[in-house]
Amino acid sequence: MSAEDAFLAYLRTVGLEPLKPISLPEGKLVRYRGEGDKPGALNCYAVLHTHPEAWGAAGSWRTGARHTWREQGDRKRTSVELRVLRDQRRAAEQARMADEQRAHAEAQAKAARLWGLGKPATDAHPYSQRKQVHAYGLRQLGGRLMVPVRDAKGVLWSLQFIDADGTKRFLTGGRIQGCYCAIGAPRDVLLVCEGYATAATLFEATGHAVAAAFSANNLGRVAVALRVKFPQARIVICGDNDAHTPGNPGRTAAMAAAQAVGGLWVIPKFEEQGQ
Amino acid sequence: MSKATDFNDLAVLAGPDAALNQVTEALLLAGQQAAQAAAQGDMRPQPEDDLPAIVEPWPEPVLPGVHVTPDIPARLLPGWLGDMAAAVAASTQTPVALAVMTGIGVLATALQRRFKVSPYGDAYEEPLSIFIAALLASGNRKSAVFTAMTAPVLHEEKLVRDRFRSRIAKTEAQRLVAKKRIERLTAEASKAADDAELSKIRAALEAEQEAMPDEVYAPRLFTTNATAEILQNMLVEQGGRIAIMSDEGDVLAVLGGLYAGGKAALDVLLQGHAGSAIRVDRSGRTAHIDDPAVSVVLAIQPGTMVDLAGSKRFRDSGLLARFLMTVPASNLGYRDVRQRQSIPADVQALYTDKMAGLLKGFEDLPESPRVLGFSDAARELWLDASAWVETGLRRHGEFDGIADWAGKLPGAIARISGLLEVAETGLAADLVHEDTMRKAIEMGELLATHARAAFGLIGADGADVDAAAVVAWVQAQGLMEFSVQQCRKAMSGRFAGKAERLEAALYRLQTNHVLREVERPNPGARPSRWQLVNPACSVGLVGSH
Repeated sequence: MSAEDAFLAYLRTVGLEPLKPISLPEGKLVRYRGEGDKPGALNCYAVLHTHPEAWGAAGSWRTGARHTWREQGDRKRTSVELRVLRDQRRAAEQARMADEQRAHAEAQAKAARLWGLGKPATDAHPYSQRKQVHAYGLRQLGGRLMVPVRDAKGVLWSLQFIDADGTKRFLTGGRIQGCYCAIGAPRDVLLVCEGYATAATLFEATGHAVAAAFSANNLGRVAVALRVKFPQARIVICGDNDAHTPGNPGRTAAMAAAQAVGGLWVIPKFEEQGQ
Repeated sequence: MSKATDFNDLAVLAGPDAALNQVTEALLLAGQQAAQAAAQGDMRPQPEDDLPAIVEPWPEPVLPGVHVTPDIPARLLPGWLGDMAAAVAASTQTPVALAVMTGIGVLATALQRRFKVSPYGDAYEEPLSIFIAALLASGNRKSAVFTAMTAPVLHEEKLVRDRFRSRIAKTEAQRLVAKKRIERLTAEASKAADDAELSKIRAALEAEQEAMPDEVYAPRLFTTNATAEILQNMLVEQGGRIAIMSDEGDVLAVLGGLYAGGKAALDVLLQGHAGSAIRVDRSGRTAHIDDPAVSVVLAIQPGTMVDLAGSKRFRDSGLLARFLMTVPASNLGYRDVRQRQSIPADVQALYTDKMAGLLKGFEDLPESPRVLGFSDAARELWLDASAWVETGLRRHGEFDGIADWAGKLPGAIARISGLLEVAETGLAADLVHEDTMRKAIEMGELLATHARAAFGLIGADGADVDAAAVVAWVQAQGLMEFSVQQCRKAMSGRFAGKAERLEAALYRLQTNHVLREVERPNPGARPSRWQLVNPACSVGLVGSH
């Protein structure tokens, strides 16, 4: 089995299998459509080196997954080979970062264009109705709500689209890390939560400014960004209570985010959970 | 509705008030915990497992390479010297530490080789030679401070030189005549007709040589620049005592081997600082200096010291560790350009007068230095300070990373106490008193903080350099937290096989509030060590696109 075949077999095992056959030129980053990507989206990437030994790196912008692969071998590598490998890895990492920045820039341009095309959303949208929240600073394009994804400086980086049935998706390649959707004017207390509907609910219930971080994984980064911007604020991470998921990832992420910024965490208690 | 998980679900199920109540309850609980913790003096409340908890707020981090140094107050010097240092600092709008340490250097220049201290009254003695380097960037008026503080030394040196002028001329004339006579007798000897005449000429030659007076040199206290070899010669000429006082860094480059093919000849400095005997063979003459004394007083730019710190020989020889380095906080940008404050005439006059008193008779060095003992109380204080230093030398101690410097701190404190005592009491001083020792120790403690800053600044503090590398990695990767294993793997180029160095770097970052260590359980395995990153240090990542 060639190194390329072995690498592609590995990609299958980590859920990054290309939907169509791809070729991997030596040391060149290749983007492709992976499982779960919508048609036309090239969310996955892979790079393969075969000299001085076979190794590769792959990932997905959509899921954030990143993996590296190395052909098994017992041979001890020489110092020259080690240096070459180190240079290759550095180059691959730089290529990945350049690709990521390019994808971010493309998504940012697209976000600005779509945001401009949209109209201010009303509370009549089915999602707002079902969640019983107002549309704070949202826009609507066709039947979709658009939630702005901005960094701490207010720069628009991407959009989250919410369909009438509640299906959510982001712009391909858009930057999410450390970005959020803000509701309300920050004072002494800042709340950080995962989704937009939760943010709107918390704002309406408490009157405190809220930042929706879009995912549990992003809670910490958003909290850090807010801590830097508002050093004196009391930051409260209002996490999800994923009691039905092993390890309760919502609670774990909320705790970690609070710990990172010297903040407070709280998760909702539901009667039926007996909490 | 799918399974309820978030506050929106809660509001839909139980109404908006339910969400409000739970968030408010959490805020109130946090407030109570904080108040309770503050009342108990414990800032780390231990919450029950499932209760919301506040986490200790992050203090302001101190990033590697950034060091806040305290000023060294003028009150630590004897009144007349402290007043002058404070006046010079006020007049030049420079940090007081610069004038204070220059003042100490001036004292060492005047008193080295004339006095020693003996903490126990036995054979262990410390000379009063001091190596001082004030590190300040260009434009900080170092020269103005230097000029004002060293003026009395220049003046007294000039007076003595003038007094010696006629004596030197007379001796030179005698030596010249003697040399000519010897030349003539040597020529005659080669033409001697018989043994009797040769014996007669030889006897005359010996008589001339014995009668020729020794060369007389103008007494000098200091030089501003010299190679190691010239410094050696000057030591021989000056009876074993010389100081280097300069507000330019060239002298260090020269001593570091600028004119010796990069080879540093530092023995003369090391021996001069330690007071250990020097044996010099030069120009066919052997000179023995049993109690050499060399002091170095520099006010230079940090870059100069950085260059020298790069010299392995400079650090390995222990020379760098001998320098009492100060890194005064620069006033640049905050000086009042409209303020013109002259040095008060009475302060200036008293300083000149007192220094003249200390320099009286400096040209006639005693056979051996006068030894100052320590009073019992002073010795106890000094031993306490020595014990503090010793404890700090332990792994992860206060002086981890600058152990070579700190190891010499007790000796430096003893020397400073001797200088302060003579400056306070006068040339008749014979005992270092408790009050003087207290001031010397306080100065030593302040100098320790400056030393850490200086070693960090010049990249000679290994832990600081490693810590900076870890911070750079954390910022490049955009990490909010990382495991020690992850760091070791990612930075294997630096830390492979050097776990101690990584631990030292992490410890430094923890003590500087950049990292906070927590343990995370691993089912069936040892807990993992994780480092939480102070959010203020992640600024480089947030919004950096």
